[in-house]
Amino acid sequence: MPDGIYQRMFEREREARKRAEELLESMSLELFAAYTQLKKSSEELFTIFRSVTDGILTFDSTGIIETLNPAVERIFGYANEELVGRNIAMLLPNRELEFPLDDSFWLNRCSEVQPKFSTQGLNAKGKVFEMELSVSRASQAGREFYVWIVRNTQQIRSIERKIAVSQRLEAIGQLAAGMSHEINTPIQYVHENTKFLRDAFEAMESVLSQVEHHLSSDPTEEPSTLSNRFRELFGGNRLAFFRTEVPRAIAETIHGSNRVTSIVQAIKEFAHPGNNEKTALDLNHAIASAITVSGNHWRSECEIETNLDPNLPMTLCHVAEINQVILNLLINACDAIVENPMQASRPGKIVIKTWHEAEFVKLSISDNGMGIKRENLDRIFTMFFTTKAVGKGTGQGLAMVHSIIVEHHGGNIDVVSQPGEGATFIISLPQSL
Amino acid sequence: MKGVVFTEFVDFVETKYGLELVDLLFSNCQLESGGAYTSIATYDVKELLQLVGELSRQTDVSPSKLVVEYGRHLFRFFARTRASMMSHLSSCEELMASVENQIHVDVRKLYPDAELPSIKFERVSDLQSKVHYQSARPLADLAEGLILESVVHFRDPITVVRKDLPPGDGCIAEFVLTRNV
Repeated sequence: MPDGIYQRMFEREREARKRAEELLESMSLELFAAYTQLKKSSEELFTIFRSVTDGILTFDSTGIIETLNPAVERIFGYANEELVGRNIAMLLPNRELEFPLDDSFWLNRCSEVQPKFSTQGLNAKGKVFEMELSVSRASQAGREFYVWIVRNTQQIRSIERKIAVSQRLEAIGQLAAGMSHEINTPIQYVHENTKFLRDAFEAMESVLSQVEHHLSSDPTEEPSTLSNRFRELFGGNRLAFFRTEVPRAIAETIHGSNRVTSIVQAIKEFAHPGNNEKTALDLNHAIASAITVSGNHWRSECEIETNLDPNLPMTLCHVAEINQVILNLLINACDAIVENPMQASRPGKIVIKTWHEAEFVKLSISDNGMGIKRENLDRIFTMFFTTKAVGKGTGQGLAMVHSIIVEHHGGNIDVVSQPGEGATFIISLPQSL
Repeated sequence: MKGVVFTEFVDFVETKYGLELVDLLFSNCQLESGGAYTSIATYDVKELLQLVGELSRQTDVSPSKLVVEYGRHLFRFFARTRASMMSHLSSCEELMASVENQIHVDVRKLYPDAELPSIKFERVSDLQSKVHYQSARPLADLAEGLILESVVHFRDPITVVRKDLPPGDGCIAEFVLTRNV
């Protein structure tokens, strides 16, 4: 072998080793940075997985549960270790009907076919509850599995009901000032009339005591003398005055107290928290209550004309929710009239009609206010959408109305509007009786 | 180009022609890297072409023939050191079909900057298939060597016919694999 070959080969190998070491060190640093980033991302994803309020659960194609987040534990009442390794069927009622929960069963329920669907769940206490489910099929490293995203809709309904109650109480709070005025006016004339009756009675009392005195002191007195004495007592038109004014004061007082009673009754009906059961409601009566409760809100702005079907069937509903719907629409109609720039030249008017068609009870509330712009018609029932000024509307009213009518009662709500001319909301509710 | 192609080329020359010729190649080529190759680094393909040209001059064997021969050597190296990547495969066609969607995918995971050729496999009939090779580098000869040795590796009764495609610079070629009945 010629001289120097091994020396040159050694030099090349040494250079190659140094280069390799540099590269390995650089790769090691890159790997460490990548690992750190991956760990951070993984921790972030894990935190999201653990903190979301919807339940996330995965299971294999035979239904064996693999992973779940704490929301699943809360929704079903099982601990993680009680679910992992068990079959998904344990979380569903009527297992005997749905077996086998095989691949094809879940494939048919995948999000491509059904984005989400309502079904029933079975919790650890054996209680069946309503839940919303979306199922998707995932694949990782050649392994197929399913992902459940589950939401306890029973809890959501309960929260919605609480929101509806608080909205109703908020509405009552907003109307409280107006209602106090509504009550104060009749109370004032009841008070004034009562004072008048008291004074009248005091005057009559002196007459009566003199009559009593006369009758007990001289039974032989001449009738002409007696007449003179009465004429003295009742002097001028005093008797005529009392005979006219006292019945009027009494009538007014009765009217005033009736008015207060009806307002208080309407408030009571409106503020009633209701319960989970549907009860029969006379929609005409509910409209009258809403008109009474909101009187101070609309009386100075517009007139209300009612055209109510006297033969309207009762409707089975959540009474408090329907009261809320009518009041919301009434106040919205009034606000639309106030906001209408044409209002000065055109008196505001709200028309409320009821009628029935087939199996439905119908209600329409029309106003001649500013109307709804065409581009907003599709969005008015969307939560938090509002065209009212900041602080005036939260955008929850019509969303709640829609949810109550459509989701809670299986009814329908339509809106027809001509911008600048007004709007009509038409509600259909199943009679269900 | 990945360093393993260079380190194995040096191994190929040393095995076939001896250490002295390796030393001569490096002395005559004046390579930018100095020939201090490591498998984990990346080098310019021009250095490989320089070495092949010089080897051809020294041995009087055409560059094309040398590179085909080196392709065979390289396949044997891969079959020995990356046996797990091929253990589930039972034929040359299966290997060719998995290059683009499996082997190259895994290579890119390890070396995101790797510039890999496109290897498209097409089964024409039960007995015939085609492998379409396209690269930015003129290494159709290397692809031929790899394919020929894979036939040997799987003991497949297959005849490989190469057809160079325009522009004919060794960057694009088609290999027709026909099973002998």
